[in-house]
Amino acid sequence: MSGAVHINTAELFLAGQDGSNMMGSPLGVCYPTTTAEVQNAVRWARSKGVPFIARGAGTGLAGGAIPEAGSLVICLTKMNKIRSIDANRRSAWVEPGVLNADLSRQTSREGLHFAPDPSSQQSCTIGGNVANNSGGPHCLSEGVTSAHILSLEVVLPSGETCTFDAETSLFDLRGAFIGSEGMFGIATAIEVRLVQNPPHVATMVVGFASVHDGALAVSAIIAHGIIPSALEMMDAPITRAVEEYVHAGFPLDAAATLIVEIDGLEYSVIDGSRQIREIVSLFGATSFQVAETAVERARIWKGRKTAFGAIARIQPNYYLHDTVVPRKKLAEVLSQVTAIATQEQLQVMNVFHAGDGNLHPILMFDKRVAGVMDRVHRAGAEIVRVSLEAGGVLSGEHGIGLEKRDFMRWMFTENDLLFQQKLRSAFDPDGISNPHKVLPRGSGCSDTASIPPGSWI
Amino acid sequence: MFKNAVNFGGAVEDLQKKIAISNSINIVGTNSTGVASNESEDEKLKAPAGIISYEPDELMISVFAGTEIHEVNIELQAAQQRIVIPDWGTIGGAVATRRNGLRETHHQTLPNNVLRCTVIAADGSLYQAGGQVVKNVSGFDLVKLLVGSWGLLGLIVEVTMRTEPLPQVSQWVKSAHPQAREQASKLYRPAVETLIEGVTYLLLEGHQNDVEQQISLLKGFALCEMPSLSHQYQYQNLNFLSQGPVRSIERGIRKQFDPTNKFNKKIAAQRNLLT
Repeated sequence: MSGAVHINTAELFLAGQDGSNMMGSPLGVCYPTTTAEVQNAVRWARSKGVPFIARGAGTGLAGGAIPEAGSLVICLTKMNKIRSIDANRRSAWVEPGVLNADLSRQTSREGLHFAPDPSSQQSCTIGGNVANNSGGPHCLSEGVTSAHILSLEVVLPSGETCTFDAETSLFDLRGAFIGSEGMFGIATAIEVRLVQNPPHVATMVVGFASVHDGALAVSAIIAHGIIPSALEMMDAPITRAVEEYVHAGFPLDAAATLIVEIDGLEYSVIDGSRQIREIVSLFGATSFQVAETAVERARIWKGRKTAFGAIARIQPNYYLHDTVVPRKKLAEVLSQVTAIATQEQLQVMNVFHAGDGNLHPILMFDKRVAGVMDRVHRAGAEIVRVSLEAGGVLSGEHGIGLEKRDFMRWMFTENDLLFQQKLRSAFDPDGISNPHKVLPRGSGCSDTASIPPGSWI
Repeated sequence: MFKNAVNFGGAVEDLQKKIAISNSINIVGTNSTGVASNESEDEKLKAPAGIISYEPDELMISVFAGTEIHEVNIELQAAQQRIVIPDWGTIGGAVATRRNGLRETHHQTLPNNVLRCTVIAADGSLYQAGGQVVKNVSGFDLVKLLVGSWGLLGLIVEVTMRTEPLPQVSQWVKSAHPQAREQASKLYRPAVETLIEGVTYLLLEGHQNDVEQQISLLKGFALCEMPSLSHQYQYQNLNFLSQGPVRSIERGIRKQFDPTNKFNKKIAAQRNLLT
C-alpha cells in the first residue's frame, strides 16, 4: 500500500539528500497519496516520538529538507494532482507534489499561469514553493509565493487537519505558514491564485562594459518608476558558460549582461521598452537587443534558468549563495564579493535577480582539492557578512534551513529570535515537525542535536 | 553589529517602560476603527509619529507607526509615489487591522507591502520582524502575522513599507448591469475589481492609451469617482470566530506573545482569544 514505510538503503539514501551539499540519515520514508495518509504518517510518528519531515522534489539549496537522524520522511511527490481549476475566479486547488511548471502548462489554455517561477520550476513542487516562500525572476513585479496562495489545507504536527485562509482566522495563519520550511506542519492541498498571461511582452538583452555600470542601470530603471516584470544580471563568466550551452545570443564581449523584461498592455510595453532603452544607454550600455519572437524569448529564459547546469563545464562543484542587499548597494557589494573570492582563491560567477537586490554568487571549486571546502565556507560566511553590513538580509528565496541557521544571530537579536520561536511553538509545541532548522541552537528551542555530516555551518 | 536592532530614541523607550509595568493597555491610533475600548482602567497608548526615512529610489519608506497616512501621502506625492493603504487613520492602525481598502483585489495588497515591523512586546522588550529589503525569507514570517493582529501581539512602533510609482492614469468605472463582471473578465488585470451593493467598480491604471483601450472594451460602464466604503465593510472580519485547531493555534499565539492578556483585552475577548 502507498502509505507503507520504506526502509531500504537506496530509498533512505535518496530521502536523506536535497539540493544542498548535506546528507541526513532518516529512519524511513513513506509516499502518501491522500491527506488521510499524511495524517496517519504524522500520527504514527507522534505516537513513536519520532520527528517527521515533509519533502517535495528535494531541490532546496539550504538543507531545509535534510532529515534529522532517525526521522520519518513524508515524501509528497505522489500527491501530484491538480484537483480543480476555476478559470473565472482565477484560482486552482492543487496537491503539494504538483510541479511548478506543470501547473502553468495545465492552465495555459485558460490564458493563466502561476506566477512564482524559480529556476528549478521544471522539477520543484508547489508544496516546496509554499514551504520556502519561493521567488524567481518574475517575482519582481508579481510578488513571491505568499502573494499567490489563497488557502492551505494543512496536517498539523498534532495530527489534526485544518484550513488556513483569509476568512476563518483573525491572524493570517496562511501567511505565517508560508515560508515556515516545514516546521509548522504539512500542506496537503493548496489553493493558488492564477494570473492572466500578459498580452504583450518585450524581452531585452543589454550588455555593459562593467558590472558596476550594469548595477547602476538597474537602480536607475527602478528609480525612474519602471517596474519591469524581470530584471536579471549575469556577469561575463556565467554569460560565456551559458552562451556555449544554449546559444541564446548573449553578448560575449560584455562584462555584465542584463535581461530586462517588461509585460502588460500594448502601450505600457512600447513606452516602457523605449524608456528602458534610453536609461541603459545613459548608463553606458554597449549592446541592446530585443527578442523578436516567443522562440527567442524562450531561449533567453532557458539560458538564464539553466545557468547552473552550464557551470559543470567549468568546475565539478559549486556553492550557490543567496543574500539580498538594498539595490543602491548592488555595485559595492558585488565588488566586495569579487574581492572575497580572490582572497580565498576561488572562481566566482554571478547570475541573479538584480531588480530585487537578490544576489546569487556562485563559488566554483573541485572538492577533491585538499582544504578547498574550508575556503568555500570562509568565503560564504564573508559574503553573508558583507551583505548584512550593507543593510541586507540572509536569504531572499532559498531559505535558512540548516545552511544559514547559525547566521540568524548575525541578523536578529535574541529577542527577535525568541518571538520567531514563540510562533513556531504555537503551531508545533513539541517541536517534531522538521526540528532543528531555521532557528539557531540555544534560541529557546529544545534543539541541541548534532549537525548532519556535510553541512558546513 | 549588523543586527536589526535600531535605536528609536526616547519616545519608544518611554513606551517600553510604561508597557513593562502596566496591566492593561489599549492601543489607539486615531481610533478610526471605532473599536478601541473606553474602559477607564486601560492605559491608552499610541505609537510615536514621524517619518524615519524615505528613499524614493529604493521604493521604500520607514515611519513611526503613529504617523497619519495623509502626512505620509504628502511626502510620497512629492516624489510621484504612493502606498497601498487608503487615506485615513495611522500607518500602525492600518497595518494592525490589515486595511487593504479597495485595493483588496489587487495582488500587491497590504501584507505584501509591509517589509519590516518593530514591536514592543508585553514585557516591554523590543522585537523586530522582516528587513529593509524587498525580498526576504530570513526566518519565520512574523510580518504576515503582525499585519492584521489587531494589537493583540504587541504595540507596533515602526513600519517599513514598499512604495510604488504613481501610474500615468487612474480611472474608476462602474456598472450596475448583472453581466458587468463578465465584461470585466475581458480586461487585462484591472488594478481593482470590486462589487459594492450590486454595483461593479473597476479601477484601470497605467498608460493613458491602454486605459482608454481597456475602457473601449467595456459595454455599459460609466466613468466615476472612487467609491466610498463604510468602516463596517472594512472590518467585517471581526464578526466571526475561528473554530477547532485553527482557534487553538490562534489562542496559542496570543498566549505566547501576551501571556497576561495585557494588550487590547476587549478585542481579545470579542474574538475569544483571552488566555
